[in-house]
Amino acid sequence: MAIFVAKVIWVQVITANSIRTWAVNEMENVATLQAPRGTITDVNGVALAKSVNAINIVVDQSAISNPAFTAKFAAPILGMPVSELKTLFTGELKWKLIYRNAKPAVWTALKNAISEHNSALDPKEFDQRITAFYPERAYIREYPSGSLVASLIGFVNQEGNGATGLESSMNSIITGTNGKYSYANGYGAEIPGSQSEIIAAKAGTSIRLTIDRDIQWVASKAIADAVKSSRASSGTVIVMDPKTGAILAHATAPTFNLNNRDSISLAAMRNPSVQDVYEPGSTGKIMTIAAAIEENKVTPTTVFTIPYKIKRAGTFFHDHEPHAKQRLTTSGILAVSSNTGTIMIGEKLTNNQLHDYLTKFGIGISTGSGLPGESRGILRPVSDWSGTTAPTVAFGQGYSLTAMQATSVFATIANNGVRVSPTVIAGTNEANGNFTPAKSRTSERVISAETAQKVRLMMESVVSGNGTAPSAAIPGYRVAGKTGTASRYNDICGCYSGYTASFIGFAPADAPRYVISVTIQDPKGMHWGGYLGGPVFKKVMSFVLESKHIAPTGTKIVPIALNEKDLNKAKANKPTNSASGAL
Amino acid sequence: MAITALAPAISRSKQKVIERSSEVALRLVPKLDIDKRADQKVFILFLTGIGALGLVALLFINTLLAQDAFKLSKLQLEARLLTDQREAYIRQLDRISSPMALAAAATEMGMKPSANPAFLNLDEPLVPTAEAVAGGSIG
Repeated sequence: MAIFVAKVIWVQVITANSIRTWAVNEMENVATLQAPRGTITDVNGVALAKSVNAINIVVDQSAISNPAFTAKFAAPILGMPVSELKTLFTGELKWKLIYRNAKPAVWTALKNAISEHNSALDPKEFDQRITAFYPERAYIREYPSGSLVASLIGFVNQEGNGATGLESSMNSIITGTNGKYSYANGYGAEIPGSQSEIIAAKAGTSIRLTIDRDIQWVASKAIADAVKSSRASSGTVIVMDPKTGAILAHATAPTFNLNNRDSISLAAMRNPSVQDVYEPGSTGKIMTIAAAIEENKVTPTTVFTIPYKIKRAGTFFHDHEPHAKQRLTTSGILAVSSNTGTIMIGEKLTNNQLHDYLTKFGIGISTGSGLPGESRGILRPVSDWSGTTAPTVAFGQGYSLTAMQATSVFATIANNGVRVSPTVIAGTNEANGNFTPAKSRTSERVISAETAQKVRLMMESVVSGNGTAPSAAIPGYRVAGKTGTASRYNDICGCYSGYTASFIGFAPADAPRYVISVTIQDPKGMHWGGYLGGPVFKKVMSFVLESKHIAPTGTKIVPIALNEKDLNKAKANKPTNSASGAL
Repeated sequence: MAITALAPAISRSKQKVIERSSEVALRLVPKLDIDKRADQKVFILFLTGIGALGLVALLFINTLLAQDAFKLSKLQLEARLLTDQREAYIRQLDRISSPMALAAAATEMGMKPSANPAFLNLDEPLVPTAEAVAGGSIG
């Protein structure tokens, strides 16, 4: 009796807490409720990245009496080799993962096949029943648009965290908060109705981009075709709203499929539009000319004597094609993209002035796009400039920028001289459906509205019959732009080898709504910016104008005189008017 | 008549109450014979019956609760399957409605992307000629 009493006291009093805990642990388990990541959509709500249900298929090895038979049964359904499955089924583990992130249809097929197999068995064949398979629910990331916005969106790693692109830079916002619940455990199965203390999983915040999927597709196809036909190493197209900085399309080629990344190199996963830098070439002349007009050093009709080649600091600089001396206006210099003419315009500015305007246009500084891995480009300080730096910089070489920076320069001209930082984020959607728009972008005045208008008028001549990019003209619309065919620096040889062909423009020229930049790196054969970039620009801009229902402005332009002869003729015909302008 | 005249009657009443109370008190304790003890079996049976009824009732209530729990579990499983199906349909729809699929379907139908934007001139007849459409202007 005394021993009995002592035992009772021992169990009920002294060790009561530990026994209670032991019992609870035997009976109860805590499971995690996985939270889905937020969705990334385009501006119209079309999903570009979303979390979908997936099933991790696990087995209880100790419940598999015949691994070989079970492997042969499951292999065709799971699409896995029999030998691999046999190895996975052999052992005494209660939990063994055999298939990660299976589509629910695969699990359903397996479950149905097992059910059919077991139902068809004779009662005497009870030991041939298959019972060891269990599903564990999880979320996987799916990219419905495949390769469409691959370098921008990026992807998640095995643990479900963002690894590249926006999936990485916005990871903390997109990631949800897991919930949990406890349940009573009976022979390894959850006892129905025993769940308690449920903390609901909270889905991540969804991101709405400024990207328009349809425009993105047109841009992607156009640049992919151009890169393929020119055997170029890569190409980008960026479509931007100059007033808001919103990026409607951000296409790169080559690209990769986000849903199938097994054989993708790290190089292919880069975002070249913000990570790759190059010397812009003639598209940089816009900044030199805009600065000179802003400083009242030249007007659109100032006449220069343009030689084929010019010597500065012991080095000769020349135009693309040999020619006799020409008397061209500033507009004419831009239309034919004369290097020597632009050097002469640039010499009207001091080195500090030229450097400052380039900096104000965004060269050598971040655009503020927030895109991961963005490069600032390279613009050396004036103190490092040699005698040949200023002339080189004037016509667009000797400094480097990204395609995003180049687009921003032209967007500044299109936006009446105000540079707005680009963005791809329109806003965020909480799990409850509330949409919060992104903050307005920062802006900075670079040149006056009057100067911007003059430069726009001059740029229209580039797409005229006298310009370098008639292939970029869109019938019915006023289009302005500039071609670029820059010598390309090759890291491997440490020399200039190959070209960067580009065309950047906007439409309608007198009331610009969208800016499009086309950049093609290292094309083989014909490598001119107008020849390669112009048609891509036209294809994409035509689609943008149609899909956004932008009608032509209906205004007519009086062409600006490109040379002294036309200037004198224009002055003779209209002695009281200037020789340029739009009606 | 003075109240004090009643004193002897009161004393006699008190004596009678005392005697009767004793008799009553004595009567409360019956004289027990061995063969006249109270029967416990009925009481035990009664308690057992109550206990059994209680257990049955408890079992019944638990069964009802458990039934709903199984039903809930079944419905939750059904909901998950329907969610999976819904996602599969959405995936199919995404594929069909993608720009690539639409372009391929249009090409199959013999349509071609227009080279230039086309314009409708409302002052002219609205039915265009094929040449006008190919040339990028209508009317």
